Amino acid sequence: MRRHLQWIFVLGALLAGLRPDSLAQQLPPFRHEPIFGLGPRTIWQGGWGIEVGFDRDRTVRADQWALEYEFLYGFTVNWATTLVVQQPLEGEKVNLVVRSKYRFFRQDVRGGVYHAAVLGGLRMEAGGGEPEAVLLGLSGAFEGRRWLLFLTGRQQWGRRSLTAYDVALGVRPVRTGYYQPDLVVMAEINGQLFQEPFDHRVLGALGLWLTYRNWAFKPGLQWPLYRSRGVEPLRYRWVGSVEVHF
Amino acid sequence: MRLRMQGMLALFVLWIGLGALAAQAQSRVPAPDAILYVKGLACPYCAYGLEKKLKKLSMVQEIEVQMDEGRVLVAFRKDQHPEPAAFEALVARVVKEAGFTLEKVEYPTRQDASRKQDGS
Repeated sequence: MRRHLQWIFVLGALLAGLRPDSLAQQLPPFRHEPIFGLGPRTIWQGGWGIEVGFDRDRTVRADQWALEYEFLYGFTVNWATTLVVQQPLEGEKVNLVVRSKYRFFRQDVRGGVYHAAVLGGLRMEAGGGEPEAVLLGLSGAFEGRRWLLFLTGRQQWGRRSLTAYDVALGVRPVRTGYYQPDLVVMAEINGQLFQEPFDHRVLGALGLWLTYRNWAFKPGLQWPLYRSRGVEPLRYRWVGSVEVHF
Repeated sequence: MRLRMQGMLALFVLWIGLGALAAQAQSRVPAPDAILYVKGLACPYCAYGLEKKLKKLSMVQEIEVQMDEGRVLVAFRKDQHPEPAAFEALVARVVKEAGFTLEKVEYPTRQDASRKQDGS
């Protein structure tokens, strides 16, 4: 019964995240979370993280590369903040994203955890100025030794408002020990709802978490599945990052 | 650019491979002084904070995280054997700060000693 209540809570968190007055945005990953979505994981109290990654967007007309540098700090075990610098390889516009996450629910069980977090963030151009986008989201997850499920709702307010939802299912094919490399295969569905004019995009994604102790390599490939309006310009999006925690 | 990315990937795979080879088959803590039963141990990457925080404790010589068993084996330094109540209070706080929940602590060596005393 208790387990059922926890699942109801996680589903509730997803639904709450889809309310029109909540927020979110497509951002680089944040600790152990889906490659293109989000998750409730934070870092330990006083823990630091550095991540270097790339993002390649291959559209019908262009092939865009960007580099991303991320700095993560855990103020408490349930509150972590990141600063992300996004630098396109072509063009001089560098974006800064500040994102904070508070995990308000955590139920540890043997070999797993149910947890949920609220997320907020700002994206702005480096050098100051008005924020380009304000982001809010809610994420719930179960992470076990074999299976993982993440449900996230997000909303972004900015030049074009966007409501996003993410469902990610992960599996650990081989349950290795703590002192061995660990692999998780992640399949994701990432939905985006735009207003004025209304447009519904659905993307599919596959990603890997390849970790060894405090080092992680997270590659992922995303491609369009459905679009309700117009022609889909994106052919695929490929991201990869190396992250270390200390 | 592409070559640099591929090089980075190759280096990382090499790193992982070496890590796998270096992983010791035998226990790091063959005779634990304390066994911590920890809830929430799901991924090794997330457990790194627990290892880091436990190793900072002055009485801890070595630890071994056992993911599937949901426990951490602890070996104390030779001259330091803390009182159970004080150790458990300390370790409960450390485990909490690392993002997990301490379920219970067992002391196998003390249990063995008391069993020997009972038997004699």
